[in-house]
Amino acid sequence: MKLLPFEIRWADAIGRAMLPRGLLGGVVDAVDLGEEMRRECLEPPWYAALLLRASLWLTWLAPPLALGRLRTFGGLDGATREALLEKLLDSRLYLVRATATFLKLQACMLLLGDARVLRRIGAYEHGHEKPGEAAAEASAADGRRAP
Amino acid sequence: MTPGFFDARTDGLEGVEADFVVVGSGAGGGAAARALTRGGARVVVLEEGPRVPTRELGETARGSMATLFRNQGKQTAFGRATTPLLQARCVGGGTLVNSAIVWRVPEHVLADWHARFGLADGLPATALDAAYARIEEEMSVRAVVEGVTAGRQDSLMRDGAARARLEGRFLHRNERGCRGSGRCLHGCPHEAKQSTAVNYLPRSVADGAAVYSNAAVERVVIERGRAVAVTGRTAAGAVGPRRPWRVTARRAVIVAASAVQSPNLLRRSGVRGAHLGEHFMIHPGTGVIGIYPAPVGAWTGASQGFEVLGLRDSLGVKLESINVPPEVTAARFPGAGRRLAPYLERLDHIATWAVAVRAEAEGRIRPSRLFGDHVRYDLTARDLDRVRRGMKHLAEMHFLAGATEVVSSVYGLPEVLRSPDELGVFDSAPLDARAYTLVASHLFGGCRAGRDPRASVVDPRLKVHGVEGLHVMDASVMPTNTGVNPQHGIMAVATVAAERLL
Repeated sequence: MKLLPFEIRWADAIGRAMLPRGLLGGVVDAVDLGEEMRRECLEPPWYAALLLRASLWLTWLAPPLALGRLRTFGGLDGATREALLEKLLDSRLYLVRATATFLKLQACMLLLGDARVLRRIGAYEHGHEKPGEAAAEASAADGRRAP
Repeated sequence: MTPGFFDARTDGLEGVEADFVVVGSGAGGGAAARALTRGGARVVVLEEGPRVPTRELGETARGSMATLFRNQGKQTAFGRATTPLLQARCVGGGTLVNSAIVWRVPEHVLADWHARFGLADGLPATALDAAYARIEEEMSVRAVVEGVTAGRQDSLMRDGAARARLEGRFLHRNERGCRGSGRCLHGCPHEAKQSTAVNYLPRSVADGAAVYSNAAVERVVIERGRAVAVTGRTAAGAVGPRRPWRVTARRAVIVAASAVQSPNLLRRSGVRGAHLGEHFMIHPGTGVIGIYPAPVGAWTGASQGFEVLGLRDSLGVKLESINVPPEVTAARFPGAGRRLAPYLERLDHIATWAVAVRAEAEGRIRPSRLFGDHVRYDLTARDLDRVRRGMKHLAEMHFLAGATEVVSSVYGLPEVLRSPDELGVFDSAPLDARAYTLVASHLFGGCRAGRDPRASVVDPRLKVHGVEGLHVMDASVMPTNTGVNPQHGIMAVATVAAERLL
């Protein structure tokens, strides 16, 4: 499923409201979240891509119903964008809450699922400078394994 | 038939014949192939997913899910709530991406299978014990060791459990040379975890088996009441168009495609029965995050290192430490933007412990044009009560281990608890699956085994009722869930059933 250019811009704006720049020392500021979401939507299954797209539309068009303000998400200031996301994540309607939570999960996975973040929090580096070294060692050990 | 590992897209499958055709390369398929080749049979193993070289395993959840998991890890069970349903789709199946936890099927569960489903002849305790012993030796089963493969979050869980007076132990896992890299769920980067991809399948190949990846089986060919072949198409990919193929089984077809895919494969093959695709069971699980004053480094050490057993028989729950990937954990913290950010800055101060419930609920599996496999599943109120009681125990253990905050992750409850005095909120947590963030990982049923053909799909020797030469050897035959991690039980059941075919 192909996101349209304006949906890609929405994805970036919403994702950055969810996970603001400067997070974790700014190591992920350079990630192009809109582009990552575009790529994510190209992957199966179709229903996950559809849900992601629906979550973008829901969030972008939510202000009139959720906040009583005749604007789109793009017309809100930073603090109000965050307030809107909080409201959607805490909605009494399961469908709205689940959709917003799915968007949050995707934003976290795309923005924080990055080798620089993993290194910053010391994940997966036990005994290795870089995780890739472990794979290289294992590959070299191919001939030593069972049987 | 030439022994080895092959890619169906490039090597082709047309004209391949074997004594036994095994569909699936995970715990069931790998163990069946091992037992059959050890007995001298010619075996071909067909795996729908790719064979991923160790050096190409991802270091992020997204990369691993894209490569190793069905539907990129986004498969879902539908019901009152939608529940992520994790299934591997690669050579090695679930054994490549699980935490290598080893548990024999508990005696009381096996006794129930014998008494209610008549499985004593097909799966006697003595035969299963012999199979367990062999697998444990070959797959190198050992306990997690503090200071070596245990992480700090495992030690914290041990402390919390001891102070709560709950019995626990460091997990027993099948590994050889684990370095505690914390990447079990991404596929072990050191090949220390003894998945079928690094142990039983290479052993089978050494004994003459051929293992084909990217070989999705669409149907079992049944002629005059006997399974004689399987047909399918090579998986879509960069290497040429999808091509149809047929692989002939001289003696039998063994379906070991998982609790979701096996019943649907039988149905697509013309097998019918009131219980096919029914009695689908899971161990729903959810995590409780504790935030500690000092760094925990939860992603160092085995992905899972400690378990609490004290509530297994009384409450029907098992508690385990687990290092959920940080980018997934991040979404469990409250809020968005500036309220979320401070939690993410403390990612290295958290420990995540999970409750897995031996749920009584039963779901349904059906093929679907829209979803491929459609899973319908709804937890009962009793199951949800166990979930919330298990979560309360975990939260209490976190505080006893020194956590200053506990993230509840239950809709309707305070997002963060800051004192043990608040634990009572779990008692009023809603008995509604939509309030929880649950994941289904251990899957059972759908091709239930039993003596009575009117109440089961396969007989006690795991042969499909009414069809010769067609056997099912995976968790789908288990008539109930087990309350423990299923890999070892699946392997033993498949081993016993496969040895009978020789």
